[in-house]
Amino acid sequence: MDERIRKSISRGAWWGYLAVVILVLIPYLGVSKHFINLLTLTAILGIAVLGMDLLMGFTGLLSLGQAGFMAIGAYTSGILAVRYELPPLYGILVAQALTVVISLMIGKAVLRLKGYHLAIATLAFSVIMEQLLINSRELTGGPSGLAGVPFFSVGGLSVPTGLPLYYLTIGLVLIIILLFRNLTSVRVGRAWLAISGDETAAAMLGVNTSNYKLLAFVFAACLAALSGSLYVHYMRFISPDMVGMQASINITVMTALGGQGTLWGPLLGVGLLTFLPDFVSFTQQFQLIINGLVLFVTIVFFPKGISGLFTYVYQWIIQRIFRLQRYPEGGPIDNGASHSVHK
Amino acid sequence: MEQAILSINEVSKRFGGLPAVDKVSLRVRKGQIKALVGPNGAGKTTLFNLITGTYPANEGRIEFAGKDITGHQPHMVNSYGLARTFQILRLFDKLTALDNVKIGCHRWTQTGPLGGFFLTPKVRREEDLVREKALECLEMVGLTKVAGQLAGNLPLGQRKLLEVARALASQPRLLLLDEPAAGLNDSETNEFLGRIRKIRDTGVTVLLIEHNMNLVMRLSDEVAVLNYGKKIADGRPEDIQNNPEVISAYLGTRGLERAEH
Repeated sequence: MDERIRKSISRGAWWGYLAVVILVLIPYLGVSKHFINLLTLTAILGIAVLGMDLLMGFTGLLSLGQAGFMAIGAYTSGILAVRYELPPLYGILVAQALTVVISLMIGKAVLRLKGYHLAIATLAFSVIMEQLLINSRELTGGPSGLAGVPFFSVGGLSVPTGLPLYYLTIGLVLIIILLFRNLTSVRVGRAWLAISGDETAAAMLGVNTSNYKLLAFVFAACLAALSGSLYVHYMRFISPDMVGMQASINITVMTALGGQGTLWGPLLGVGLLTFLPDFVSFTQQFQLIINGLVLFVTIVFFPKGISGLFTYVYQWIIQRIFRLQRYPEGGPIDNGASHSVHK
Repeated sequence: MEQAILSINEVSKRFGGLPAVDKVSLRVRKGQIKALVGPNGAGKTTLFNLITGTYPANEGRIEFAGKDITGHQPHMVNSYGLARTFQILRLFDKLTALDNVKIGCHRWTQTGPLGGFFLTPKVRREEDLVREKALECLEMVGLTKVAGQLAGNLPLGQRKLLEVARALASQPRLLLLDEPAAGLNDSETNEFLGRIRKIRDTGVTVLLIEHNMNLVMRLSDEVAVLNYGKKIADGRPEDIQNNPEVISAYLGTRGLERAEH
């Protein structure tokens, strides 16, 4: 077999194409509208989780405050659309600008902390955001939330929740994955992985660690805010608890659950926690317990997350079928963007 | 006299009043291999940390290639052309040997987020160059065969060499090696000696901390000795070997008496 085909099979690149084809065709396979909506929600939350993966999976920074940035996105978009009747794209732009400024300030302050200290500081940010939203009633509608948010639209063309929004968000997620897959496969990604591996060594190799950490933090915040902007147009309603502390923790949990450092893995985590409550709807009141159990089982039995399990099974199968060595002759010298696979 | 690439003037570092490095002055000349020896706790690694900016000196001045670098941060110090290895290895265990070395190429590459997003032709060219240079550095320490293996899975001897290769990848003018031969067996040590010489021959100045006196004597052009944070001797290896203060620091005063007999 041609060497390049061998490599691409063993690296699982075809899975990517297959996933795209399935995602495009799935609405025509007779699934319900509800199913499509859940997929849309998965994609929207997936954007925030992708950002979390940059932060946690690549740079090794534990944040429990991502929903705080989601809140900035959601409320900026929501308020501009409801109170000022501006088109959603303006909302996204303003939210992104606001997020860059706020995340730079917060990042500067909290990124000197490490590990659990950083997690607590970011959690505090999320809690403060939630309280802020609850208490500024005139602007945000307070605890009862902000209703009457219009559908998403692009240039006057409405993109209602359902098929149109589904394709838009899926496309967006794919573009974001591609961009960050590129970025993490070259110098910037290596610097992030170096910081995650050993900050002292990274600095001694010329990596300006505080700048690169800040870069990852701002990217993660912007993706969370984008996720929030889309979320508010999907839900057409937003209240503080939807983007509060619980949501923050969920984002981190979904990232760990899916498998960090792979970009695509965490999306499986989002999918699982989005669809699970639906499949086992009789257990509504046990929701948190089930989430906890799923997390527990994953961490104990599959420390690399769902994606790690997938990769393992896949490698096992292709080794049987194609008799391919995972590492031909001592190792894959050419690993390209795949260093994350080794995580 | 040849030009000094590194000159340290009266540098001191105290940890809670206890002097770890006490008014040490040291000069490393361009193109030489200089060894820093001394008993455990003499302040050798502390001196390395002061040079590389891991922590600031309490007093004194450190110049690298004529530039005052006292108190500069590690990534700045690296950007001037100074790289180091660590006594307790700090490899990126979850990455392959090749990726470890590629990270070493950070200093002289430019790709930023925008180029990285779109993998522009310029970025691709740079990536090819990085790969080529990284493989070159691995070749220089004889690790080409394990390029694709995870750094965490390599045996100690190869891990030590990998740290050297990674430091070399930043194309330094001065390389600081912290006990590079500790834990290596005799044949590995001999091999190591040859590799350090080869690195020096490519124009890199080397300053190394080493306990293996046999290796130090064979390898270095100059040796400086630290004891209790103070420099007690500095000169050619054969002079150091017969310096009574050095012998007493290493063997105790009774050892000195025995040596005199």
